[in-house]
Amino acid sequence: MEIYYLPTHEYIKVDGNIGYIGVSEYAASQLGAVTYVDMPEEGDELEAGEEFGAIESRKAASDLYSPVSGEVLEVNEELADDPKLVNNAPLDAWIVKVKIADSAELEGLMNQEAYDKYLTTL
Amino acid sequence: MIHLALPPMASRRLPFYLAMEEWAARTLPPGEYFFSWRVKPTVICGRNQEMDKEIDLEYCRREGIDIVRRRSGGGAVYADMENFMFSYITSGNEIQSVFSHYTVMISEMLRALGIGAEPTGRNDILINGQKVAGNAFYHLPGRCIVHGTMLYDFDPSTLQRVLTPSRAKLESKGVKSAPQRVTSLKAQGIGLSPEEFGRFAVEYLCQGNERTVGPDDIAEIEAIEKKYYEPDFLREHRQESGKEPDILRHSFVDGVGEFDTAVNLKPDNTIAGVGLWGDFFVIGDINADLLQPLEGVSYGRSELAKAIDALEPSAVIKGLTKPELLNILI
Repeated sequence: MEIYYLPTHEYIKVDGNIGYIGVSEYAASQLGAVTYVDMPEEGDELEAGEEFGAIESRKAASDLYSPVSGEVLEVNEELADDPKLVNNAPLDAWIVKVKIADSAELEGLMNQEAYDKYLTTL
Repeated sequence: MIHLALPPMASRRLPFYLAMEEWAARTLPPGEYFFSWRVKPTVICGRNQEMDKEIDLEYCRREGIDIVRRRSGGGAVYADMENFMFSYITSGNEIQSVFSHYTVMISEMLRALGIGAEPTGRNDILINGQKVAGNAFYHLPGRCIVHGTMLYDFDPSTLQRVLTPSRAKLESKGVKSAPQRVTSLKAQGIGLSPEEFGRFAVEYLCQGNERTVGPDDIAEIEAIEKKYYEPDFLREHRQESGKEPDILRHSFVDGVGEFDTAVNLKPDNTIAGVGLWGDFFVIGDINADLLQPLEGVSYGRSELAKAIDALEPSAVIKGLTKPELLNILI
């Protein structure tokens, strides 16, 4: 699956017109032990660049921004019971599964190489 | 550091100041900003707390205590005019380094007043092991907001009274509040009045650098403030997560105490989590040595008995035997 990132450290893994949105390893390590993931509901419409939830850790609360526009097909209920999954394996612990409305929006995101380079500037 | 100076005005409701932090983070040029404020009696819930489970809402209403929610994480906090709230806004993404910078800076400020304050790894500030300031963090793209309490004086019973002591907490899926040992600047013999302390903090931290917050700014802040009163954000009662635990039991063990037990099960009938609440005497690590080892165990008497056999309940809860623990759970 292709993966793309926002500068605010959300990723989207893309499988056809389906996207899995979560937070990057960098974000997970910055946040430390995650205590709560505030998720949207199935059927909600996300807008690219807009807030769709929040993630809280023992250190901080941080808003979540959506890399693309699209409908929420599923939220990861496992995170409600075990938010630390975000720390254990951020790239597996997707937060929402979305139907990507416009694949062209992916072009405005960073690919893995660009994101890795971006991290060196922080 | 730049002081954000409000014109003289009566104390506003707390969300105004939270909105002012957001306004600074979203609209001012990169830099370090600080302001200090005080509010009438208010309880401030963390972003993801179940308000009705953490706060005695009825008591607060009766006593005229305002109830609000902040966008940073953590537990519920009580504030009144005896407590200073500090707001620090800065650029950056490095959460821990911003936090450390802030707590070290504030501790140094207190030490300049002859008060032996120390920052802790958990982002609090302690004096002789007791908490005088607790801080929370809200991260926006490229900006960090650290805000916290600074107790000038306090009535130790108030926070306990506004927080819910009942078993409702057990059922909460949100972030829980934890009572802690606290002290105040007054108890530590500070030689300044509240007003003098407020002025000292601004002078020490900002050294005369100031940005006036004008009427146009205030209009922008008030627009942001409105979001804090929206029912979707405030969520006094959170229906969707107010789900009852799968198992809820009440039991009494002679010589040990009363127990409220909540058990949540996975679809395969194994234990997802256990909560214990009551007036029993805890002498060990209840989570690590009693509750967590039960996770994943099938919820049946014989399986539980087997799992309990490997534990030492009396080393965790005074006087509790293995058969008694079994009866509390099932």
